[in-house]
Formats: sequence, C-alpha cells, structure tokens
Amino acid sequence: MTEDIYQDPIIRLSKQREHDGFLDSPDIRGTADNPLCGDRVTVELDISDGIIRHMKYQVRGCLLTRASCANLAGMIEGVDISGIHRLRNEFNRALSSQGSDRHEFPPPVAVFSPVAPHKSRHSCLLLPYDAVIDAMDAQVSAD
Amino acid sequence: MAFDPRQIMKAFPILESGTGKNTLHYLDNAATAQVPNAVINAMVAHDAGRRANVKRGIHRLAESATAAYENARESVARFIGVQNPAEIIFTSGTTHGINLLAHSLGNTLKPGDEILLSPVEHHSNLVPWQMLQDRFGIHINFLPMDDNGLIDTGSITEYITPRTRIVSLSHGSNVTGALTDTAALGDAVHEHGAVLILDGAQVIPHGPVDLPALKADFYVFSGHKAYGPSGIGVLWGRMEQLEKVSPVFSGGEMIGDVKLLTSTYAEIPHRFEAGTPPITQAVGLGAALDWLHRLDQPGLNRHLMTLTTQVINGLQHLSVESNAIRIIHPAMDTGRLPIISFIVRGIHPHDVCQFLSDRYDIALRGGFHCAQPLHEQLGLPEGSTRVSLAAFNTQEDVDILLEGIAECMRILL
Repeated sequence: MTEDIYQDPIIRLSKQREHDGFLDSPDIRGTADNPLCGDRVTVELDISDGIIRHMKYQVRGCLLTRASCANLAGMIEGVDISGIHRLRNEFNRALSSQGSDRHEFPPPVAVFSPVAPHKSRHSCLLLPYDAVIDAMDAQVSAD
Repeated sequence: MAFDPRQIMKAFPILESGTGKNTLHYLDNAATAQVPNAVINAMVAHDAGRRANVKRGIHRLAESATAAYENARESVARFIGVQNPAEIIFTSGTTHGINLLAHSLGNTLKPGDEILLSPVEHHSNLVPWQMLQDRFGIHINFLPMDDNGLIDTGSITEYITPRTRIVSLSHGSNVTGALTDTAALGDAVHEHGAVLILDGAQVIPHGPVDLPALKADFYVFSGHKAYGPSGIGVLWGRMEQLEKVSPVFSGGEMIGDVKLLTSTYAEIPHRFEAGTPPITQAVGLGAALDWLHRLDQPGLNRHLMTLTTQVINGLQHLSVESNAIRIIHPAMDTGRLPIISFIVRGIHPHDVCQFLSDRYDIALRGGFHCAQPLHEQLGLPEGSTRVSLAAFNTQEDVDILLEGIAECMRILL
C-alpha cells in the first residue's frame, strides 16, 4: 500500500468554496478535460495588462481536482501567462521526479506531495492549470 | 468436491503474501481476473519445454507446440459447448474479435444498411461499428434500455428492419452485471436475414456456456477476464457463417497457395489467424478454462450470488439514513453476474477507489468502465465504482469492502 493521499489538508482544500462559481463578467474563460476520467474544469478570469486579477472555477471531478482548483485560485492573483506555465512546470516536475533527481515541491503546492507516488492522479492536480492556460492562450491568440 | 473459496484462494499465488496472510482484496475481476497456478504452470511448462512456432514446423518441438495449441482450441470448444473446434478462432481479445467482425462483415454492407446495438455496450462493441458509418454509409440503431440499464431485448421486433444486417449486443453488462435476455433475439435476427453477435467477455469467466442454445452466429470473449493470460481471446462463429466471412488480416499461416499476384487461403480457422499466433497465451487460456470447468459449478454460482447479495445489501444498509449510495442495478431476481456498480453521492468514483486502495488494499474500478454512453444515459457523468467478484473472493473481502466504504463516506463526505 502507498501513502494515503486523503490527508486532512487536502480534504479541507477540496471543501473550500470561496472561488467556486462564476464571475459577474469574466474577461476570459478556459476549459480543460481529462479524457481518461471525464473530469472537466472551467475557469473564468478577470485580467488586466495580461495579469490575472481574480479566478473562479466550475469543476466536475474528483477530490484532488477540486482541491487543486481551490489551491490555484487562492494563489493566482498577479500571475501572467508565463507565470502560469512556470507554476505548472514546477508542480509537474515535483510530482514526477523521483530518487536523487527529486525536485522539491514549491511551498504553495507542497500540500499535494503525498500524491507524487500516484502517477495516475497527477493529471487531476494539473487540470486546473491546463484550464487557465487554455484561457490565457485563447486571449493571446485573440490579441 | 464442494465449492470452498478458501481452497480456491490457495490456487492463486498473488493472494498469498509472505506471511501466509492475504492482505489484497481483489475486486476488479471484470477488468482482469487473477491467474491460478494451473495457468501459470501450464504457460511456464510450455515455454520451458515446448516453445516453437506452430502449424508448419517439422521438428519435435514444433509438433508438440502445435498439439498444445490445438488442444487449447479443444478446451475452449468444450467450455462453450461447441462440437467443432474449427469454429474457434484465437484472437488477442474481445476487442480484436469485434473489430475482425466489423471489418469483415463491414465489407459486405451497403449504404443504408443498419446495425442494431444497445446503449449498454462496452466501447469495444460501439466504436468499431461507428467507424463503419463513414466508410459504408450505414446507420446504427439502438435497442432501448430501462432506468437500471437493462436492455429491452423483447422489443427487438420493433427495432429490427429489413435493412438490419448485424445485431451486436453484450451477453452480460460489465457495468450493471445484468445478463441479457437472449431468448427473443436469435429467431428475430435470423428471420430478418441478419447475424447475431454476442459479447461474452463478462459471462465466460463465471462458468461454461451452452453457445448453440443462444442461437448466436458469433460470440467473442477475452482470456484475461477468465483466469487466463492477457493477449488472448476467442471469436467463435457458426461454420456456415465463418465460411461467408473474408479474412481481414493476411500474411503467413493463413494461406494455402501463394503466387506473386494471387493467393488462396487456409482452412477455417487458420485463415483468420494470420501470423504467428499467441501460442503460449492460448495454452494458458486452455488451462484456465479447464481449471474453471473442473470447479463445482452450482457451488461456484451460489457462492458468487451470495457475495453479490451481501455487497448489495451492505451498500443499501450504508445508505439507509443518508441515501448517499445509488446502486445501478440492485435486483437479484433476474439473471445477473457478480458485478455491482454504484455511486456514493458527493464522492468521485476515483476517490472511492483510491481511498480503499490506500487504506485497505482493495482493488476496485472507478470511472466509465469503457461504457460512457451508458453512464451518461443513467445520469452518472462521473461514472461509477464497480465491484466485480471471482471464485477466490470471500466473505472477508466483502466485509472489509463495506467497512472501507463506510469509512470513506465518514471522512470524505
């Protein structure tokens, strides 16, 4: 048996509802699907000068996806498009690295370190990041 | 000998830990069942003592390997009540078998022809037919199902038409566990000049089947769900139907006489087994079905239905106050398989599975189980959690499962 991922901090995050829902008039919207399990995250963002000011999300997915949505929404203010890519890459690298090549989890996502051994669940955590990138990419294309 | 699951467990090395105490509670048999020593030993003995290519080698090992391969075909024939082993075609699994039929039968279809399926089908009995729509301009129609996901086969006369060429249905659902009532199918299909294909992937693992009585024209199943190895499966066809079907895979082993521009084909079944077949896997499948065949069948069935009832009753008990659990097909008074799918409202199926794996070493399946349309029609967009039982499962497995689900609900809800 591997490390239990259902630890209190992750469960608490999954039950946060502060950013769950809709913005009144979002500047951009993005969606990411996980075709393996049917999970879907839709994000709505207020942005100005390419900087994210506020995020809300709707999620159909597992506890990990909901926890990751809440976590990301709580730290995304002030991030631009390169920043969201950097956050995702650092998170993914920490989840995927092993042994002597192990990368530390950045503090904002360290709560998810028990998920690292469960490779099939990494995509659950990264889905909200992909939804934000989808929204930001669409805006860049439109610009 | 009376059926004793404790004795059965001893035949499965994966269930025996170094301490002699089993910690694994394997309830994902509808995806892949575990293999008994009889299968492992048969495959090791084959590769250690008979490994060679089959059919054409002129040496001792080749003849021995060919005999073992053909003996496996005879084991399959005995298991499914078929007199002629030549009607048994080895494939890589159910998906391969249905694709073989879709491509070969597809070549005979004309624009406007119809195929009749059901919403219950596994993706492997859905997508191959979808691919024919664009290629041949055919239409796919669906028999209706009820709120529990049961196929209404009694209504086939309303849905089959003079243009229907193929009716392809699950013999037993990998989600609901419901056995399909086939009584009305065969005659109705044949009166319309169509062929009946049954997907038996979930039925074969639970005991011998009398295929001729089903009046099907083709029947497909996999080895890995029937205590056998992966990479092997069976396509059975009535000889008169197989004679009408052209091979879709070609190359060595399936030919008669080859010229630069033309070839003749080998006899059935070899014309449908192009290339070197999965020989060791076929030997393993033969050993698996022989092993299963030797069990006390009424005892095995009673055991599995007792455990199924306990799972269903236990889930209903956990849900009495909260109404948190929905079982997709809870009925025990119609023919069913030891497969139970359910949702815990408010907990994603993947979380149920992960929680029970992490804390109890229970193996379940969560998600769509390759039956996304069924789940969506049942209003289950996140899929379900599936318990699927096998001969080696015990009362202890069920007790720990229910204890784990109760804790999962207590902590995650």
